Amino acid sequence: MSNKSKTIEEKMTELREAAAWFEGEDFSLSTASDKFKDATKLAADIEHDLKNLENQITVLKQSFEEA
Amino acid sequence: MEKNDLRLSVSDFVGLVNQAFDYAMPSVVIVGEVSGLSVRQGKWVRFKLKDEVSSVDFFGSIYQMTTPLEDGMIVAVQGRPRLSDKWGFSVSMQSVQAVGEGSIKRSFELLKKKLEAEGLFDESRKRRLPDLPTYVGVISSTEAAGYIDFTKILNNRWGGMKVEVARTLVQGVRAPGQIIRAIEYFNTLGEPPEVLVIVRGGGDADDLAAFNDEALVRAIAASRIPTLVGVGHEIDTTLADLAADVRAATPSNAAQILVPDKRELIERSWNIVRAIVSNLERHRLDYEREVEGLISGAEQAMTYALQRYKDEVAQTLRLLKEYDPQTVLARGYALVRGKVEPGGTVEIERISDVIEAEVRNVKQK
Repeated sequence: MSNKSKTIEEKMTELREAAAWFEGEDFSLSTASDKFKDATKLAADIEHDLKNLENQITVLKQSFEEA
Repeated sequence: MEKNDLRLSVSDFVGLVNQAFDYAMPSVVIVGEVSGLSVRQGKWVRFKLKDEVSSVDFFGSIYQMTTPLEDGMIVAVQGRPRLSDKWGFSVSMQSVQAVGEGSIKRSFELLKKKLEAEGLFDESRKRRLPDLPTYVGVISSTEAAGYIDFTKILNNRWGGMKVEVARTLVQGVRAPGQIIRAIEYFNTLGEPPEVLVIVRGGGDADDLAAFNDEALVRAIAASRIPTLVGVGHEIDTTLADLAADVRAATPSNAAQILVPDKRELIERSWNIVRAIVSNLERHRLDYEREVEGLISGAEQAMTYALQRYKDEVAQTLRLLKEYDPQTVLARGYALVRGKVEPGGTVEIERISDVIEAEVRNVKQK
């Protein structure tokens, strides 16, 4: 799944998982560079998404007056 | 009696008067002091509203008594004027609301006690709001300052949500009915919102009285969609607040409770990256220390081996030196060469000279 189709929550979860990998026992220097690039991209995507998302506010036409 | 006067039966007259009332005053709100309150068969309510000059009869069911009443309370009653063929003129009560600080307070206390006893405000009933809602239902007056504050803070803090707003009155006797119908509307949608937000800005006790309406409080408590209510200022508490799953101090606070601040989340995500950098630096230092340790170990091993070889060579040299004839001569010994027999000639070599000598005698030891 590309980053574009993921929700902000999913991206945050991935970012936290990446941080955990750097703290865990699976850490290896050979893949650290790629993992770090991925994490930086996720943070940049999250910032981009949050800055560009707008709420879609609709005022309903229905009347709630007593019939 | 004139020839052209309208002649009607009593029933026709009653029907005509009611028709006139329906046309002229389909609904009216009358404010006055309650007197002669009575409840019959636990179901039918009768009372008068009076002022200094006049009094008017009211009739309705206990279910329309949306706030507890007592004689002496000042209330606003919404109703329809009716002329009954049996009971004469009265106003058919549709909803009622306490008016004035004293009456509102009394009504608030009575209703709070009643609903509290029913467990409507119990903590165990409270549900969690979704962490990041994507679909929100809002009930408010779109012209009110409270609604404007709410949407402004909401848009500043978060985006990407579908927000549907049910426009209702938020004060006065008609407000509870409209808000209840809006709650019902959202609750009966095939795909209802994840959370229902009811907001209204500050005001005096009369302005906020709609949010102490019994039917409205019950509708909030019964909503299958979790509710967030932000009414008035921080110091105001309404029964709607108490019945809500989550209470916000103000409409702005409701927006703060509903969604996180995107700026905080952006900062949090970059903090995670900074933590990764710091972890990476720690790993680099660990590797560096490991390599330094290995190099230092190798250096020590090499120094030790070199010393061992040096010692061995020195010892060999010492031994070789011991075996050198010059070393023996230096200690005072002499080397004898020649024919060792009487009359023979021998050469005696010492460290610093060589002596030629004649052998006079040879004795066996």
